[in-house]
Amino acid sequence: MMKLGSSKIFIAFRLITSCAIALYFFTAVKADELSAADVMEKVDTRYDGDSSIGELTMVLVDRRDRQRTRNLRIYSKDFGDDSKTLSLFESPSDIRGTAYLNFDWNDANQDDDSWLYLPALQRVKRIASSDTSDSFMGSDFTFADINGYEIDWFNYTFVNESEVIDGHEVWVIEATPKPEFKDRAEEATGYSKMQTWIRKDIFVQVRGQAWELKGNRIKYFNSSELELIDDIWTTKRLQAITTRNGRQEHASVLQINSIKYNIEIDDETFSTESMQRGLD
Amino acid sequence: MDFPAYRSAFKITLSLCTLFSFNNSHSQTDFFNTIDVDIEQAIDSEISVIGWINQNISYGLEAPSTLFSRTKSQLNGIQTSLYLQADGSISEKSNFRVSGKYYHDQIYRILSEVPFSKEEQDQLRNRTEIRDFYIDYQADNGLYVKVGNQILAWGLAEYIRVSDLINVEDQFAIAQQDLEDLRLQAPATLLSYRLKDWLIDGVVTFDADRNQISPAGDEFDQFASFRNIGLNLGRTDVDKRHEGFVRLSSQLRSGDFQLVAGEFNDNLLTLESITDSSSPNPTLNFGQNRMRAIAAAANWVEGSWLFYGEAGIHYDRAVRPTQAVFLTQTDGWSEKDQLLAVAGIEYNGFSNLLLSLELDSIHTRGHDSLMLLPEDQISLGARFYWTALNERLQVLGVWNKLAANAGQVSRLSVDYTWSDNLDISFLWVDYHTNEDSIFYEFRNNDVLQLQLRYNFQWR
Repeated sequence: MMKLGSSKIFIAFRLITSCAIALYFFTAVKADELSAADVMEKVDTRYDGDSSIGELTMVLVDRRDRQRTRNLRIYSKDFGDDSKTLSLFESPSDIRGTAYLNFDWNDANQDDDSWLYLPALQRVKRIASSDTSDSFMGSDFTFADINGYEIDWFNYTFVNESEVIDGHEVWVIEATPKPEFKDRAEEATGYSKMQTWIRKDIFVQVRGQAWELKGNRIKYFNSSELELIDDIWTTKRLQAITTRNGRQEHASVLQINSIKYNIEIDDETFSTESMQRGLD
Repeated sequence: MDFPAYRSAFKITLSLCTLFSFNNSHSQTDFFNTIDVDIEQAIDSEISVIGWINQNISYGLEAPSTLFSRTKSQLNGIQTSLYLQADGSISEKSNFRVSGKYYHDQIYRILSEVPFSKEEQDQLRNRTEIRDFYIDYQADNGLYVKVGNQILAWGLAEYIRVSDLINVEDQFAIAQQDLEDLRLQAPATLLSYRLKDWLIDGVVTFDADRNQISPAGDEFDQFASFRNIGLNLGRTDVDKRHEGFVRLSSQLRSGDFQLVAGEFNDNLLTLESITDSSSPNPTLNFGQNRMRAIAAAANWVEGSWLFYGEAGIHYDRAVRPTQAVFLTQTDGWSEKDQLLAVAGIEYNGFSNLLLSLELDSIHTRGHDSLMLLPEDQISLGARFYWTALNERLQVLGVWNKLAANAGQVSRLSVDYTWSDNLDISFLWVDYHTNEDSIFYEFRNNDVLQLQLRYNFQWR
């Protein structure tokens, strides 16, 4: 689902772990006094750890319910306001060893730096900043869903100020591009508008809905299995379903199998040579 | 004899939602519900083994000339191959990899009327290759060492080699190789050390090999025309079996840079002498020329555009003479210095589509009219890579206009992932050469291939 962050983070599990316990006690302001923009600001300004190592499984489900499974390990670390992420694919065998390295610069005018290592070629290749509205590794999540996008590009309004999901009170907020940022926002996300469901107690996004610009498609996001790990609220299961004309086209599930926060990771881990050597 | 290698492309894959309607429908209210999936986690272990079995059926669309075993349009391969790769840890700082590939082609047993040569049967249609065979060690002081059979792919160019000089190529079936077969492992020691923003690599190879070329009789036999006119072929040993390379590289914001230097044996076979030149059947002795090179490569990114370039000098390249004087150069081909340059561009701004274009140039210093190829050789490569159906479908098209107007090669592959274990692929390659091209004998090697690949993994 959407992560509205000024610090664009590439890798999915950052998205999943995007709600920190710090937000639980975030402010003296009563939740009911917040505007929709305030809520999204609170979601955005969160603490999600300075580093982490996660083991994830991504399941892709096609229209015939055939499943493909990818297992990956992700290393992430903040370097001041910048962050670096290394993703290593462990299965299936035809992509095992594939590695993706991303440097996310805090400077909004500086594109991310990204490299891909292909085990078949045993060569590291720099790649251009991808169209962020494209799919992440064949899943229903786009790069923008995962990286986040500029919070200031959107107007926010309450669709429903009090709804209950799984026994928890939530806000339902709609995000539409501001006229002056409409082109950039649509290009970055591929969506004409979005809705997000935010739990009032912990500011966790538990649902989302996004209307694609093309193809009359709507995406449905659902996050579940919330768990407090190392004092950071972690959504261990994230699901996205792409629909067209009210029918399911494809679905993706991203499951965190294990994650550790704030552990020591050598700076050299985030280098192109690490991609080639692997980190077993 | 050289032939521009084809390098397939891979892009971090993007998806395109299917254009078709679906059999299973869900009401809108279902879409927030949790769907059932099987979560199969990777299991951690000291040793992992991956591999695949390929079944490849190949059909030659045209009739190659009478120089080759196959002389009509027909099946030209029913090949089964098995690849196995084991990775493991020796200690926290040391790992190893062993991999190998076995090939068996049933074609010569099925097509008994085709006179496949013994070399074809032994060297091409049935063979086992050790690929990776190395151990590595990461020292506490930052030094990294890797010893054994390995691939060290340097440089950026896709169609010619300017700074990618260490590994030899599989040229058994030019432009038909699988991605993992483009380079072949070399026995080498790699020392690698990072000094702030710079990575310094030093490589020594111990048993420098040459590009793997097709055996006598095969439709990609690069010496078929020599054999046809009764010339004998011989090999000369290389003077030095070891090679040395150094590289200085750095990753900068929005761009990378690398500087490479090396002394090495040419991966191509070149003529070193002609013996019995006065006899009706002289012997051509081919070997590998000792060369040196210095090259630089850089790339940078601007939005959805990736620009890259390489430039370098190759010293002492043996240059093939024209046919008219070929047999008069009994002391081998003359050695010239060549200036190589590459300019490439990639664009990935369209959904699920990667486009690239590369212009390559080779300038021969001290060129004279007795040389077969012109002073300036310009070649061009273009490529598209498109994915659909959430990456189940991948389509790659490559077009390469060869240097010196020698011809062009077009390649189209379509891959469909049926499941995590099973891939189905289709490949079409078209060769078009001009009559005066050194590749003219390969003009009728157009091929269609169907491949089934079963992937497996134990861990």
